[in-house]
Amino acid sequence: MSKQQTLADILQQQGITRRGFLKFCTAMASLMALPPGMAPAIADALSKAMRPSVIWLSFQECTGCTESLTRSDKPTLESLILGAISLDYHHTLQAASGTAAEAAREQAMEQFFGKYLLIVDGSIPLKNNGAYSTIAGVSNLQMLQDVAKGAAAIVAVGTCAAFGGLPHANPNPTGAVPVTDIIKDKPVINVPGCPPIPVVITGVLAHYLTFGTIPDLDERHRPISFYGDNIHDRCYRRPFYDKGKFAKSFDDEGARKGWCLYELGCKGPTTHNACATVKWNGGVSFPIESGHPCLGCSEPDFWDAGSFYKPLAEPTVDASTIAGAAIAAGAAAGLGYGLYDHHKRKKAQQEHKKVTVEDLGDQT
Amino acid sequence: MNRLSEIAIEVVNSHDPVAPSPQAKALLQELQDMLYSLVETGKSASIDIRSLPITPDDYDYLKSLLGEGEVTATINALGPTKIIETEIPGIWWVTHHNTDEMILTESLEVTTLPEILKTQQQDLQQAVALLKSKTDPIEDR
Repeated sequence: MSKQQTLADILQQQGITRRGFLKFCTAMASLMALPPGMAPAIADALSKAMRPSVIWLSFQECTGCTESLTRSDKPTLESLILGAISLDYHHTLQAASGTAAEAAREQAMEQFFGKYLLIVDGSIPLKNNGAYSTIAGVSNLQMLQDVAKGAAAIVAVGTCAAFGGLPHANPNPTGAVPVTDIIKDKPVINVPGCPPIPVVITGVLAHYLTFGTIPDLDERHRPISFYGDNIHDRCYRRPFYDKGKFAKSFDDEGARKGWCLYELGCKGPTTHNACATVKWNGGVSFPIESGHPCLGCSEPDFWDAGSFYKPLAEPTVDASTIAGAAIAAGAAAGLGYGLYDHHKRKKAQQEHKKVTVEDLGDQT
Repeated sequence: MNRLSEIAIEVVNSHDPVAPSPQAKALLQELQDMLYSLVETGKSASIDIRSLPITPDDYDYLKSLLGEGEVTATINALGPTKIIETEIPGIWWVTHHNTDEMILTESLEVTTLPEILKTQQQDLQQAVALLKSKTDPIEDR
């Protein structure tokens, strides 16, 4: 496919009508936590957006992030967005191998210098000169530094690339570090999760496609639209927490009635991710909805944060004390739930509304 | 496995009917504000249901409270989209599915006609040519 095509051209070639495109844009607006009314503006911007070149580097990882992104049945939003980018290098997915594969990467780096998007999954081992992970004889550290030079922005996909992840867990035998420890002079977007929710990965790509810029990030380089809320604040079991109704074991009355899993070790209050609203497997459910506490897989050092089944703060006699302990643990408890949530969403929407159709036009 | 909905589920201990949660009440209040705005200024608005942390009970409550009105439409583009005008004129329940019938987005639109139902300007530009291509062979006969 030609690199000069716009996204609208590509979708049209796939037989997608204007209504289909509008529907796609509505879903994208929802994905990016933009007001649904933004869909026509997104459609306008995407009609003009050029197909970006993407280089994907996999370092110390388990390929779970790629699986998360590619395992969905088509045509999902993920597959549509994946089809809309020019994935010039991804050693798990590309047909070429060996020298030809590396040549494809070098060609893309040269042709789109300063413009391509670099996606990294996996951590980078530094111990013993990076001998623990090499590709075509080049250490991960060297390859990251080389490819980052010409990248417009870098997306660190998965907890390993974002925070070091499992390779970084104690005792960290390979000296694994995240992308942000190495690249200091380029914008880095962290998309943590083990793996991240597929639509969150593509949501970041969609934002880049739509606006030509990177989304607003928090202090840990995470897009605020997906990681701005913690699981606890967005959890449908939150009202039970507020009432002090907890499951005490996995087979008691509380567990059967779907009460809060805080006492079973749920890390929802300290975990920032979109699982509670976007959910998994095409929106079917998420761990808490399936009766299991959140492991906090999208937070730094989640593997070393003690037992998955130990409460964040040891429960004491009554609910009010537990709520107090949760505040100490960093949870935004005690605020009127509906009001709080509504206010936050309104605020986010207002911030997003600064973007007008004219602004979008300037980006293309 | 393609359809998770095909997995049989047995409800062991169903929930007692519950009163609407504060979230459901807040959502209804927002709908009311939007309706006022539509009546007074003609301004359309919508709520992205799936981005809100409402419980399955709240969802069912909203569905039954708003009900189904006179209009039901289906759009077949990238999978089915179901559009239902609720019993409250001006409030539409719009559900976008993909071809696997999984829900992509679901929203409540407060408008006189959802945008996606209208014939799209871009498609209209090709309409004359399309009609001509169908009628020309007839005239040639």
